[in-house]
Amino acid sequence: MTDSLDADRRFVLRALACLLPTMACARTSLPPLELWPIPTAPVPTAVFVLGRQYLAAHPEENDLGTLRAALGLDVPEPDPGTIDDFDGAIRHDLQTRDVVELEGWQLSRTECRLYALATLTLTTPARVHSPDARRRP
Amino acid sequence: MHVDAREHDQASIRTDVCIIGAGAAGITLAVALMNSGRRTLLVESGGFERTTEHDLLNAAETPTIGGGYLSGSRVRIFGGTTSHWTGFCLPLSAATFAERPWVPDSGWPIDGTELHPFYERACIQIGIDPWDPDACDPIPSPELPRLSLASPSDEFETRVYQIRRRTHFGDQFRDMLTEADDVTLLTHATCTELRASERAVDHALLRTLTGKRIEVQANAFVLATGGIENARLLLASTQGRPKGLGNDRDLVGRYYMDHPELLVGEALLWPGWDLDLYAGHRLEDRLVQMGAMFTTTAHQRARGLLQAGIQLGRAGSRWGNPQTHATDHAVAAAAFWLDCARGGAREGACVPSAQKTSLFVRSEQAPAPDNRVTLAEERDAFDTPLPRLQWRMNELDCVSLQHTVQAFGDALLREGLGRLRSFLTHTDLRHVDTIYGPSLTDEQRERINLEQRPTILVWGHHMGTTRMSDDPARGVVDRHCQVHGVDNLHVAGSSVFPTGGAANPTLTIVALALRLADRLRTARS
Repeated sequence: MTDSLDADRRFVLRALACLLPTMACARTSLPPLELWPIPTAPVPTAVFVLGRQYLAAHPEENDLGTLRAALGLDVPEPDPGTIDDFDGAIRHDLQTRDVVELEGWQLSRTECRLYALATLTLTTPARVHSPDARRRP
Repeated sequence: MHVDAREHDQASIRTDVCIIGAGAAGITLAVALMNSGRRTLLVESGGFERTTEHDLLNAAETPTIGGGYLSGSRVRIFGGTTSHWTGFCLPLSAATFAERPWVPDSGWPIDGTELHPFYERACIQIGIDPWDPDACDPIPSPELPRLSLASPSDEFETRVYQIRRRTHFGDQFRDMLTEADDVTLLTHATCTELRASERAVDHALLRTLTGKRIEVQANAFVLATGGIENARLLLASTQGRPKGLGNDRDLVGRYYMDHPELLVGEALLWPGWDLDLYAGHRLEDRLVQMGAMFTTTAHQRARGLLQAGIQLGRAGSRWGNPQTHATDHAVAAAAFWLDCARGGAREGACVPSAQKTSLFVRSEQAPAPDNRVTLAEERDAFDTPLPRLQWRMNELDCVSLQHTVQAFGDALLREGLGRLRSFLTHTDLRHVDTIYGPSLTDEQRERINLEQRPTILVWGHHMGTTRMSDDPARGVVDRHCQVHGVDNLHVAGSSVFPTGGAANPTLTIVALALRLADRLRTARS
């Protein structure tokens, strides 16, 4: 269990690290708009907010093994390149209408599981609000 | 020449062409018939200014739509409803004219290409750029850049409305028509009945609120009083025809359609969108271009859907006030992060920020025989029965709206362009309130925004009540807009539309009027 948890944590951290150059890429000049700019939350905070909401709504998945299996990550050392495969999984979710509503926002099942996995691996288990998590020391 | 019927001292008028109704269609016809060698009489129920006593003639029964729908959306004034027209122009899509097996009673007897030259002339009349008939975008004036159109996925295509502000045909054409030698504009004359012999209208009976009666005899009559009044006048013309003129098959008044509009949700959009186009791109003082994302014909065919166009709510517009929810910031950051990782967010757009916008949909309505105008028991000042409108959203209307919103949300997610928050997920659209759009108060709009309670708005696009078909068993007028079985009676306006598409109707009304004018110019007396 500990080995798997470490692998997941490494996977998520490496995936986030891979993204850093992407996040810092050239900025576009936005056209003048009268729409509503939304300041984004820090990425980890945002991911955890959604991850916790998903796990609270789906306590049956509040388990690393279940989430890993659902995401196809039940291998000893997931490759950060695996994230490319999630694009196909998300498209498949839409084809099969496997869509999750979080406060009305329409998200794919796979993306919610990714947020949940990041939440379980990058926060202490006790922070995850579910009956199982609260029972842990 | 202008004549006020209240001061006219003759009991009868003889003319070549009598056009009843001086709105977009009637004025267009009268202008196009100038210098044709024919004397034209253009009859208008109101005058040059709107009055309460003429507004009262627009009383109607509309049990299923609130907000004074039929009294508010009809105007008895020279210029008709162009006096309050918002100026949205867009040709009907090619699919609108085609017979679509998944849309019952669809199909025009004419091909869309037949209207292309008339659309071009209509654009000139209104003062907008013509459209490229093979594409979806306007052909801009030489000094303007061509728009770069993009859509979120293959299921949607961007088409661009041109919005011409302050286009009141009454103001625009008053001098031209009142100074013309071969046109007489007769104001304050309400047509209450058409009296016909076996195969032709003999005369139209006009009345004034001051008690005068005038009979008009003409070689050709054109009914151009709008989608409600055209049907009402035919139904009320019962002399020798108990079911009404042109109504042997009980089709007059049936197949009524409007364009339901609905606040359907909110979207978080990542940078990279040409949002300036979708939120409205001002070209000059009176002309704005605004993109809307319409479902493609291929997608409609694959899913069995009606046409619909998604628009973004601009700040300050009626749908421009999305609420902020606790999860918005989290979704904006996390989903944007994920879409960058997937490579979905557009190249060069990976700035950690998002724009939130309201989404609204304007959709086509399926032609349904039970959505109909009939005559009520109650009567107006001329003792003519009021129109009664029975209207509701049917199954296909609701499914199409729901699916269009869902498909748009899926496209955003699949292509990594943003996320959707839908207000329709748990809503049965057959049971939501429907109200006349312009009657919506700021307070009501705020409540709709705040409670995210779906409410259907209709804008008075009265279509379908004298639908066009070459088969008299399926339509009131033929492909030339002539009433089946009545040789000298034509109908102009959106009441002849067999299907309404998802675009505003006025440009097509003008194009069809120009086409009818060409026919009347060349017809033998």
